[in-house]
Amino acid sequence: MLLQQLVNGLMLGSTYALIAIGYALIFGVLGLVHLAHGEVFMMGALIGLQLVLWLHAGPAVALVGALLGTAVLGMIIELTAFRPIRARHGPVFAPMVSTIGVGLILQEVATKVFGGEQVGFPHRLEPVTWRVGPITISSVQLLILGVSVALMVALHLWVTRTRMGMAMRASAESTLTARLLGISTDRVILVTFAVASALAGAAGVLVGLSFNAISPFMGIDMGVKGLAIMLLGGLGNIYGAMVGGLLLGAVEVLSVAYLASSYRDAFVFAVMILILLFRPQGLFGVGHIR
Amino acid sequence: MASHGKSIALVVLAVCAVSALLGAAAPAAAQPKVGVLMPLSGKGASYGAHQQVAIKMFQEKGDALRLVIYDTRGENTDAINLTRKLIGSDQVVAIVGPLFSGESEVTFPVAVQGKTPIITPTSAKPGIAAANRPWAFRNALTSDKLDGALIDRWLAAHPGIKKVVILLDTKDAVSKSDGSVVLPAALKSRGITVLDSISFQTGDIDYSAQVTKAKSLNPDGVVVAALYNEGANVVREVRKQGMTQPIVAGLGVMDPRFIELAGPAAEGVMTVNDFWTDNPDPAVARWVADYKKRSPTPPSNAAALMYDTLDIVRTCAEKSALSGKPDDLEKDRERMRDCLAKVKDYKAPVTGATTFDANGDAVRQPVVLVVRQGKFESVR
Amino acid sequence: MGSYWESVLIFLGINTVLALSLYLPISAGQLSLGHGGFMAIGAYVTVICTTWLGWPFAAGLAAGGLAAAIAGALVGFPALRIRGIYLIILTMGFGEIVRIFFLNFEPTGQASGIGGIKHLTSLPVVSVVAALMLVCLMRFRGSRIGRALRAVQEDEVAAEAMGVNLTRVKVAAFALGALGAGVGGGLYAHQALFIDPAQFGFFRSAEIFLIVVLGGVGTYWGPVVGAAVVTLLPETLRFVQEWRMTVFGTLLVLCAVLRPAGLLAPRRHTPA
Repeated sequence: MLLQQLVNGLMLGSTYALIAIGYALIFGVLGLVHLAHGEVFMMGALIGLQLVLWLHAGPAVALVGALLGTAVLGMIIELTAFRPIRARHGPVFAPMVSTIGVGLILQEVATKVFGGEQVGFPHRLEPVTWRVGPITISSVQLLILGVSVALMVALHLWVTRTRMGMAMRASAESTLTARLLGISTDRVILVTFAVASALAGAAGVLVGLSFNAISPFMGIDMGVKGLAIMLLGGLGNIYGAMVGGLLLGAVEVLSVAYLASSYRDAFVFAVMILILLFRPQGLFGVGHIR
Repeated sequence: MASHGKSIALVVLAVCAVSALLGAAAPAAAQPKVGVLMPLSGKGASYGAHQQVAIKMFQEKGDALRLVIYDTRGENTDAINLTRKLIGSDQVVAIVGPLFSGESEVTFPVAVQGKTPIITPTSAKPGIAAANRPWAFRNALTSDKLDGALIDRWLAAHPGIKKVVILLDTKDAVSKSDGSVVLPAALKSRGITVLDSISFQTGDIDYSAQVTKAKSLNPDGVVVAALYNEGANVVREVRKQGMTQPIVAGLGVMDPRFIELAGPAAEGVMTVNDFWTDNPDPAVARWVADYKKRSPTPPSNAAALMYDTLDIVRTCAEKSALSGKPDDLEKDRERMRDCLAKVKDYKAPVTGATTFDANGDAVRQPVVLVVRQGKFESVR
Repeated sequence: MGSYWESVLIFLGINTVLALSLYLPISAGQLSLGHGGFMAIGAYVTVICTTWLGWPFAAGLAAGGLAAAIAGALVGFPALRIRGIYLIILTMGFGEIVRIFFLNFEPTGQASGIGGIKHLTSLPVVSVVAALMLVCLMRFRGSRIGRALRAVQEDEVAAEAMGVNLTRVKVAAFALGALGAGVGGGLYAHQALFIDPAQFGFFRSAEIFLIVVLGGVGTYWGPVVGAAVVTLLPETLRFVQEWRMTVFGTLLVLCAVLRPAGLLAPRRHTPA
């Protein structure tokens, strides 16, 4: 059973990681919390689903469509809910109000457009399952793992090898210095939002495919957990977010398997709080706390 | 500007005067005012949308009641405020709603305080109407009246079952009491061992860990206590992980959406309710067909119960000889309450013969259902 | 006055109490997204005292506030080491743990909650509590600890160098804030007449946070204005029917964008 539970945790954890990375990217560059990130994830799942339903497309189209759609959505959120506040030198928590508002709007509009019902991908996309010794693995699980790993590798290459990625890291280090170095920080921030949101959108499609529970309200718990994971891994640290996601996925399934399942989320947050107390900078933080 | 404002004021005055005259001229026995509380926005909006269709169907049949409809967005505070508004400002003779058990818990005491009958069409949480006698009623069946029949049929269909695992939603009060009290009692009294109760929470998306644990216990059957969204995903995961044991599920899963979401995994799942969309009864079939003309989705429980509840309230309003005068409001409300308390074997259009028991809870003949070829079918 | 508006005003009063209680830690630089948890503790303890033990309402509220304050002090200690976003998320985790505790705690009915609570919260009671809190906060500002708090807010290191006992001031701010939330929870329970864990989830914490930040953290009247907006706006938006939460969301974005420091912004702007 342990082996199967670890597989379960790995699958859940890799979707958590994709969401947490988005938080980490945005926090890294802006030092701000995006409370509608869970709703971006939700929109990704809904966009993917609509593509499948309207175009009778496969998961690949759904994934690409969700990536693009949420990237645009992320940029719109940056332009409407973050940039004007930066322009007025608003306090750090002002974007929390504006993004709570954005989250409400996205939930309500999604309910009006797609209906408030929970929906799933059509059963023709039902995964094939294989038994490997004592464990069961499905094609969707392999897809989740493959896509998550591919996206994380792509992200790593982007931040380390491309001009824009390096500009983003420079901005994360210090916006002021980056600007002095001739980097257009506004553009960098816009691109960061696009990338972070696209990752969340992809996570939405993957979660939708494997767990089949798509609804306008699916982003709430995911958003909260993603935030916790980002913190766990070290603020703004994308690699920390990857490991943190996997760790939290494992804690969740193991607490269901061996401890009391009704306390699952309490264990998750207790682990988070304990780590914070002993390593306030997070698992992979560099000791500098804002 | 000033003259403009003046003319508006004049128009408003004129309208007021005319409406006052009309109001005075209207017959004393005008349509009784009935309040409706339901979610039109927020988390319960999809239930509300179904109920709206049912309300429209009810209104098209005749304008016996004047409905005052408010959106609670599923929030307790809104439900409390609006119940006070219906009782105090709108002066309704009865209230239909609210949808959720949490809302019912907070609005029932307000209705008792305001001496106004209130009847929830949907809330299935045990004991809420009983705690708010004599003004509160519920038109939904509760698990304690259903699970005995359900478990009997399930065990009869699968005689090999000796030990089971219960998968339950601990965040939803109805599923929680069903899965931790009512179902275990029904199982144990029939000599079935409950190996473990494994929980998840409303809104969860991943059930793999719970199902893997259930699988490792190697039960003869699986018992699910959940709402239809979560129930469908649990059932899907059970089949995905290769468990082939028979599944029985409490009434929370009773919705056409359960089959739609679970797909082939729903086949053979047994559950219980009084309303199902594929009921061959001609009256129900006609109602369902009529409903489908107005809605892209088939009617849910919430819609059927809203329709029947309005029908019961209309019948009571007609039978009670309400005076309709503001001075007699208290008496009219008492008459409505007394009529509701006496509802016995009332032929409700969709869910059939309905009786309200001493607790204010609806009693109807439960039907054990099984999913066959993507449809609910009654078990003979 | 109709009982509808009375009911709305009572909730406005309760939201004001909750917002003022969060104002105190926020003004010490401690952002908290866990006030729903303190509110839950206050609500449950007050209800146990009044409904099960038969205590008078005031004693029950005091007990609920005290219980929440003790929990607040316990959370306040780790809060010494962490700040800003870390603290926000730590308190959020705390709030969730409290909710899950009550979801699993048998004596208080688990998911079924506690009903049969007496209706003891009235408009006069709520008004008195809210006014009392506002007055206390105003007097507090001029007191030793209040000045220490402001010093801490301006510059922690300098304040400590000046002899401010950082530990005491910060834990006190957090515990007093929790006390207020506990009292707010008790008031809420005796207006709703039924409590269950679902009412004190992340949403509640976020709503209280929203009220304070929307109103502005520069003045005491900020939380009051925020409470009025968040309580009354959805009620006055009823004419837009099922779109009202969409409109509410849009107005939140507009408020944050047009007045980022809050509706009642302080005159002095500090760049972020």
